[in-house]
Amino acid sequence: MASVFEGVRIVGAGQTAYAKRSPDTVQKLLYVAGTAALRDAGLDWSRVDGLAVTSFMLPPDNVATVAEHLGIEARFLFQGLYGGASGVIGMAHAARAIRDGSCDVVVVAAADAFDVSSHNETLDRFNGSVRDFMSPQGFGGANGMFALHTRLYMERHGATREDFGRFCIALRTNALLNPNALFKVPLTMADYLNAKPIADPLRLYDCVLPCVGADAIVLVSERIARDLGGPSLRILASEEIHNHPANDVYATPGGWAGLADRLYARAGCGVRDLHFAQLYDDYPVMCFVQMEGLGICPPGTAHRFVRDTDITTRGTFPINTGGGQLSAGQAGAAGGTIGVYEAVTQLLGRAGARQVKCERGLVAGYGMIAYGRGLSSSAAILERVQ
Amino acid sequence: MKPQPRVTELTRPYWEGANDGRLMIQRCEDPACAKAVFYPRVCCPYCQGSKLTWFRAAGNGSIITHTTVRRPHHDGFAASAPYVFAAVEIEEGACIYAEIPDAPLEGESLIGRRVMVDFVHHGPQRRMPVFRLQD
Repeated sequence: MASVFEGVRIVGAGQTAYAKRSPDTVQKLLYVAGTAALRDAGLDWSRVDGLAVTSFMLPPDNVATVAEHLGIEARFLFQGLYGGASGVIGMAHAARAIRDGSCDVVVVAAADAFDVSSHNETLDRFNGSVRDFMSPQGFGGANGMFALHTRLYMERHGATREDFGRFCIALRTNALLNPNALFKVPLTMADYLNAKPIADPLRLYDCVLPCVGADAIVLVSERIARDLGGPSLRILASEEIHNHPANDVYATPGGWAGLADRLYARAGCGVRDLHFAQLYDDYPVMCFVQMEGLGICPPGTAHRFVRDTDITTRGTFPINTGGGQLSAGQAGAAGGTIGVYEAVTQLLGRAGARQVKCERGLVAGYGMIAYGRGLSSSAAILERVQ
Repeated sequence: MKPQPRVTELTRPYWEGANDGRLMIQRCEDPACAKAVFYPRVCCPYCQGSKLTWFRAAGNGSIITHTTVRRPHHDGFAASAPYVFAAVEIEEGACIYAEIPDAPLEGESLIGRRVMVDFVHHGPQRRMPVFRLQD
């Protein structure tokens, strides 16, 4: 089946090292990651005529002033307003713009320079319902919000702390092969179970560490990809859904069950055709919800899936092959593009020590924390062009 | 000081009610819908009907899920941590987030436990709804 993104190719990916602190501005981080992605593709900034940017710390600047800052004359701009769902969504918008002939070379990038307190300050004012009806009530930030979902998941499905631990330990194993990851030492089950309590049942290693970093990919028209001559990827399908299911926070905290059928039908493949998944891992419970919503395992069984399946880069179904946000770090809005970077890097065959054998993989996003949950979910399936 | 809500024309009935010891919630006036609505909206999020009216909720509810916040998101909560924070479904059918003062911090699931609203000092001229365990 012809992809709805016919004529579009992904040709490069770039990432900064993730750091706890850095004097770099988000403009600098976007530039560094974008430059790396363009170099990876064999291109430079002079060819860029489109930008898709996501960054919580960018205001009062915006994607148009980023274009000005970098000296790019752009025919396509996109600014991600859907938090961690924006990486996949920005990629899809860029692909549509290229497909429709609006532009030829788009850098899709995300960056932030957060620490714990600036992350909390941003979230406190994220939107009206959080500012007025969660933060003053003492919700405990994103940690508290997802602690509520984690406890409910454990009660409904019989998942244990050890199940979430297995997931986090596997991601740490993957991160040890990623030179850009923030965490450099293995995580043991004892470390995980006995870590500092944050918001019961969550402890330290259930919670992403806000940090500094950026990720980027480059999309081009098929004509330019042919001229470059290197490996390239096609987008088989990309879907987004927001506020699903409406008016029911605790049916499921993520919307992937509402987009999965469309995603696989449009991609013309199924879960068994995927060689990895890059999930949005702000908290392990959200990965369980994604695995179920996206059909990687049946509803309510993700905890059993991670007991039975090796999800490391050496395993039968690798997940978050670069360590994900849980072990590479959450650079704010870049958390929604780290999986896109990793999926592209793997499929281009440039993942070094953590390379998995793959032709096709899935990447998902999630974001826009609001009244009790994130409102925006996204997912895409990418394939290496043979 | 704890973070304070921004009171708008839309949310004023809720916060004035709280200061008077009443839990005020909106309800859709369309009899075919008639859903209770929270947080405050400009239209019914179930049927998009334009008429919502405020009513006093009985204040009974049950705990959907809960956490014990040990690392608060704001310095204003540092002195009160650890504390129990929960999603409460009120009997009229809406989800409200609130602290559960005096609840056990650990050791037992509070999911499904009955609670009743109370109003506590939260800041200058500001009372905040909380819920207390009933059994």
